[in-house]
Amino acid sequence: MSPHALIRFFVVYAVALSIACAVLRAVIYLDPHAAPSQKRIVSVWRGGQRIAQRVVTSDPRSVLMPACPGCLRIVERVVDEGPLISFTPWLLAASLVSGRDGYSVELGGRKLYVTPSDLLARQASPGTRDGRPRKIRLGLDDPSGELALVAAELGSDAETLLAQGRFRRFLVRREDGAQPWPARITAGELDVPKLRAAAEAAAEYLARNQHSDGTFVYELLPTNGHEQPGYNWPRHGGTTLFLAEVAAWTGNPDARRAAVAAAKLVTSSRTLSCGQHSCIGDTPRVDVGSSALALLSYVELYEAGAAPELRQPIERLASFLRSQQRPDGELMHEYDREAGRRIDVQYPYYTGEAAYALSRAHRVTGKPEDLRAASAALAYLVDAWDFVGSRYMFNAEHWTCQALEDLWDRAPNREALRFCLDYQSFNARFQLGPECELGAYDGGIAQIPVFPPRLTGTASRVEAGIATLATAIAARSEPAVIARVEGQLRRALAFMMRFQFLPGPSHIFADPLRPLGGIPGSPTELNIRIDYPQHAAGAMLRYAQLLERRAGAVAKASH
Amino acid sequence: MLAGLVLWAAFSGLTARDLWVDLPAVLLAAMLLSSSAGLLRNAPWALRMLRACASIELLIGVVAIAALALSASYLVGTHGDLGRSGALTMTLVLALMLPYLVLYPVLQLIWVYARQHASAPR
Repeated sequence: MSPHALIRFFVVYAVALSIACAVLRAVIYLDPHAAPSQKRIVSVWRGGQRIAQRVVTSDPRSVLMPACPGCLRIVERVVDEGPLISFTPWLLAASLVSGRDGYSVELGGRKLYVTPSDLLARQASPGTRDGRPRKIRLGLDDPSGELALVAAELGSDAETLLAQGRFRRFLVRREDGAQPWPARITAGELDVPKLRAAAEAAAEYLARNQHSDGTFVYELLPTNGHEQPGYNWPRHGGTTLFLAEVAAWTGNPDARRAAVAAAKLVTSSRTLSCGQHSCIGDTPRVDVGSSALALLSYVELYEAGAAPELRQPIERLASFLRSQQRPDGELMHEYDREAGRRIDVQYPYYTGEAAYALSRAHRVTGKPEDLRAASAALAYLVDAWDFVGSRYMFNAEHWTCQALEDLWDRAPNREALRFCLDYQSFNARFQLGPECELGAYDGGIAQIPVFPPRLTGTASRVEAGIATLATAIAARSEPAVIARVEGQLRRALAFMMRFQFLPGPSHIFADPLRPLGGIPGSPTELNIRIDYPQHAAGAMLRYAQLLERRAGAVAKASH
Repeated sequence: MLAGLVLWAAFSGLTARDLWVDLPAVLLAAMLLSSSAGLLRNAPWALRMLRACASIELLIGVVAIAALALSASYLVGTHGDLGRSGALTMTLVLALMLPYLVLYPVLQLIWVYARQHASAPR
């Protein structure tokens, strides 16, 4: 082939491919900002179940009215619709935007509308498996199951539906009087009263969902009211810490009662002997994380004057954590109680938790060894993260950066501040912007750009960010750096507040009042595990405290 | 080297064995190796073999790029603007594909064309 023939070939190829791409995109694309159609889907819900649905193109006000007692009537207006490719179940799943798109299917003269509410109500795309995020997330987690369900409604089977059904995708906008979810909150609107209300609501959710023995409902599925089995003591400690922080800052009596009850449970029935020390757990092998987070909650309750009897347990737990520390600052994360020996294994987060807990404990115990141990653990975390490219990738460092902030006035570590600022720059790369068309996700941190960001992943990064911001202010870092980090954090906080259940999509909840104040795993995974409100609302609380401290400092300076 | 890459991609990169993929991969690798050997020995069939190899590589390249571009357009159509990380992923995949499956075979075809014209009787 001559060079001229090759050039001609590539010109034709590029033009043809560009046209094909542009046409494909134009045919498939749904415009969320399009002028809405006249088509409205009116549905009535009770106990999280849709009990009636009607599609109209006229005034919907009288449709399915009056709604039955205890029922919620929802009106969704179709904004845009287009073809949905459905050659295979997986292509169908990949063609739907999780949490945003609905679809219709026509078979044998019957047409069925599956709205985003329907898909959320049956948790069709939480994007998790066994509590862990899936590596590949699509618009439907189980497309075959979804097809079977819809086929049954149409009196057919999944195979026939896929082969003969005419699928279309659509976008809707809510048009009923219910409070919107996601709520309409922007970064510019955040202030102390709003943040405080959100944090208190989350604390009240946890307090309401506490058992009489002091444990919490570990994971609630609000759509069906089921409680997931299992429990996790580090998360119990973290939840207690958050409740204690809310109680200390707001004086909220429910938060205080719940925090004290949760701490009492740990002191009375989960405190074990680990050699000469006390530790927290309920198995022959205990981990450092449970003790570290229990210690943090004890310190918070003790400092607030809510539990003066915790002074001795604080000293004992701090002593246990110190005993687990290696000479290089790292901690051995397990202790075998039967063999009476430390086990030198490492898990995510525990060293950061221990560093933060020892730093907080030092304020109570006054023991220099607690401060030394905390500083050494923080220095290890920062120094050990040193390899080619280490400034461009990070683990979740929320506890590390909180340890940095807490230690700053007694043992400042500038390298750790640089590390935490780099971590925030890294997170900014994954932060979605206002142009994101998947949903109201501006500020959310998502590692996969085609799937809604998780709230809990965003929350832990914001916790680290607020601690970093507070430290950067204390260290008099460059104003531009401070402004950049704060702007990033405010957007992330607004994202989390938009998705808090206040009241949330109550029509799809089995009991609309039970999840009130809770924070789900993601906009499409509506489960509330105890650490979700802990991290997200904990971040809201700490940012409100920072704003309040700043306002206090400004007022003091002006006097 | 490209023959090795083709075999590595087919037999190490792909986790399942499929005759429709494995056989063409082995054939292409064999053609690449024999054209190299032929060129080293100045065999009369070497240039024709090289041209066939380069054409196949180029065909794979243009089909792969078209598939990638159409998939990306489809994804942008269904999900809207994918932002910086989406664009970065696309650029990375293209950057890995272009040198081996487009630039290299194009250079080979031009070289074969030049050699054939240089040796043709005037």
